[in-house]
Amino acid sequence: MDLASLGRRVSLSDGLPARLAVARDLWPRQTLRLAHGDPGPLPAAVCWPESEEEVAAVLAWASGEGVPVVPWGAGSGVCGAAAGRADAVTMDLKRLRRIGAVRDARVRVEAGVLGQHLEDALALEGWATRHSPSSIWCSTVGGWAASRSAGQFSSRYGTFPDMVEAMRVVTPKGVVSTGAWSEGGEDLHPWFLGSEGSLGVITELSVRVVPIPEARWLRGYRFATTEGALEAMRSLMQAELHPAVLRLYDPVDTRLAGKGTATRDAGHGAWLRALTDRVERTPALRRHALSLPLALPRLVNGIVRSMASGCVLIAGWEGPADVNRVLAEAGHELLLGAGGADLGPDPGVHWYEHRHEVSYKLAPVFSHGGFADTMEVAAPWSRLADLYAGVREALARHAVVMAHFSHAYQEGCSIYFTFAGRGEEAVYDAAWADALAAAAAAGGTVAHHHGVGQLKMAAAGKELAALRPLYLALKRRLDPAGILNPGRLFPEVDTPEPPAPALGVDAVSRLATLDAHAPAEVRDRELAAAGWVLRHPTPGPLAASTVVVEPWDTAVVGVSARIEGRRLNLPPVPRSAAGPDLRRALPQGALETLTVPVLPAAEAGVKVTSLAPGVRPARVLADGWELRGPAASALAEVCRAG
Amino acid sequence: MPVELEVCAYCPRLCRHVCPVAVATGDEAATPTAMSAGLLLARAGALGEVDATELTRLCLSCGACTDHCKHHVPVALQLGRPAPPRRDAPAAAPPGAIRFVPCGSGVEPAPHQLACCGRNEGFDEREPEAARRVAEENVRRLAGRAAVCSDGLCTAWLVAHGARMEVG
Repeated sequence: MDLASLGRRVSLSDGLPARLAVARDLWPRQTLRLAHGDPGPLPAAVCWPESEEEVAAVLAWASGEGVPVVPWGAGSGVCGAAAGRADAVTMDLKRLRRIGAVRDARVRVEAGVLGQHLEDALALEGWATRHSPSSIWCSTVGGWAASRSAGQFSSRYGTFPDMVEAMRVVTPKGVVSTGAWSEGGEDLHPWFLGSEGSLGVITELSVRVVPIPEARWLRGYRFATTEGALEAMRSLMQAELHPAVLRLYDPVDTRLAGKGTATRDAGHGAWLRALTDRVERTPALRRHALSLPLALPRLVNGIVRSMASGCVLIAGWEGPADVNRVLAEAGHELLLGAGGADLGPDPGVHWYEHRHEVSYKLAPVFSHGGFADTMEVAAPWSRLADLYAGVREALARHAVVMAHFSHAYQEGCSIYFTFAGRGEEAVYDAAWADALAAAAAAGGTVAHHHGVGQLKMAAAGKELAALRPLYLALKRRLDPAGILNPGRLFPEVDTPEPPAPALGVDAVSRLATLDAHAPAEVRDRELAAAGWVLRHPTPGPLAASTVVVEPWDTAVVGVSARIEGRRLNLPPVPRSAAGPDLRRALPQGALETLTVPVLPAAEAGVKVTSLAPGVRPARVLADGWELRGPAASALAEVCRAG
Repeated sequence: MPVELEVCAYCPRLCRHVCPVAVATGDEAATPTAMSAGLLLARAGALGEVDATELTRLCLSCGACTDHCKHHVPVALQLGRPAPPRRDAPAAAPPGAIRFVPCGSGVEPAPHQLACCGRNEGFDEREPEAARRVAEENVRRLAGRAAVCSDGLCTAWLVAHGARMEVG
């Protein structure tokens, strides 16, 4: 490996501190190994390109030398996608850090800018992305795109891929412009979003931004059961009320994390805190404080679940003041009517003010001899309860587990499990193997916003199995020497061909699985006979649809297609991050069925001919917009007044 | 071994965006997480023969990480670096050393201590030789004073390029 040659093209270090620092990303399995004295695989060197040309020069050198390159943003990934390799050079992109001026509600930004720095720069001019992952302090814009990140306000603004309008991507075969910057012909935009550094190096992006919200409304509600609260969440999301925040903590999370109260020092937990304080002051006890409870996860889970009752939902709206008031009042009434007890604004405000601090809780678990990790899965509403039960039971065999439901959409929701176990790799691996199998068995996606990495590559590979030939063909075309983060996406997996999805309507999730090539009049007549209409009216067959939807919306939720003679089912799950999302990018001729959003035909709508800022229509019509739900009339008044 | 070192080593780099050196250089090795993890491994003998001070030299003891940290971990001290300046009463740096004080930290050095790092007087990190001359001149000019700096760019650049900077 001729590092001297590379050093003439780009800033480079082959010193121990630089290599050690990128040996691991934030995959907890690697943190566990660190706790056992294993630094992880040190790359041969780290380089810091400062321009697109320098990125290209590094890739040219690596292709010639046959040296793998691991692109690195800020290393906040929790699945091992950016972890070091002993035979590789890690390419740290943080010197690509220019931020352009906002024009036409878009900002042009280089890939190495840290999330918080982008928000700080935008705020000076009155703008925001409202992409707010809990990693915002330690992750980069390019990393968000490469791993399909989602933020805490995704219910209103969509995930980060939904916000990215265009990208510049450097591949060993040249620079590719995507999306709005593509120059006609093939657009590889959907392939690069979620490609985790394996197809190209994202260097620059155009990101949609919004004015800093004028008003915000946050509140907590207590529900007697998780099932009742989930039903309230679904009703709210399908009532066209578009909350920015909707987070339901299951009874264990509510109990352990004290989500129901703003002050945590009162109540039944005081004795426990006094005990833990005593342990914290005794170093000999501290290191082993979690050994016993984490060694007996079934027992601890049973005790905690028996103590836990009720769960807390946090709801929030933000936007222009007049629209926000209408939406929040309607949402408040809906949640009270669904059985929620009003806890006032404190739980919501407390969550908002501390929304980026959750990761502080994970590090102490490792220093106490255990491990802590999180898992984010998603499913349509009709499968959510099964997904929750299946994954929770799988994890509970190995770890103490709690969960919350967030990233809610009209068609479904994500579940975020937090679990802690005894600090042994065998326990860690067993927990993940069982949990991933349970997620797949319940019909969920194995990744909603953490990406794939080494942790989930086999499980995600099964989810996308039939895409593998297309991926490999593209990889060979863009990266013929195979140097870009090799072996971490689309591994060879042995999985049977799935059956064709059943045609019909999932009324709970408001999704219809339809023949992709059915004539529009036949399709729409059959849907109407069953009591439904397409959310996005489509004049021809769905396979030929060119419907463009707003970033917060989604046009196609599931796909069945035939790729090189094998059926591919991209399951109807909300905003999967299990690799590139090709739900709208497969060849027309390959499509068999599409799963798309539908609305009840009988539900009354209010038509408007202009939209006030912040108002979101249920349907876009040829001559205006249709508002629906309990706030439709009041929103129509706002639109007419505006 | 201080348990706080482990907390930093296992922390998901939650203070990396406020560290002026990590921001200026883009070097992960400057983050408190990386330095703590390195020191932890070195003390455990997992890195073989290594000069532990090499792993922590990018810390300028500015205290920005401690201010940001929810656990208020005294990062510089546990890395074996000098204590950060007191927020209420900064002392003069000893001769030959720079006290690094980020803007916005609340420190108000006495007038005779105050000096600008000079980044706006010609420092451009993309012109390495010129940048080195400007930065080295600033180091001489600022010796014994408290440098107030918006982002630590030239100081961090010097450190990243091998300058030894004993912080007061």
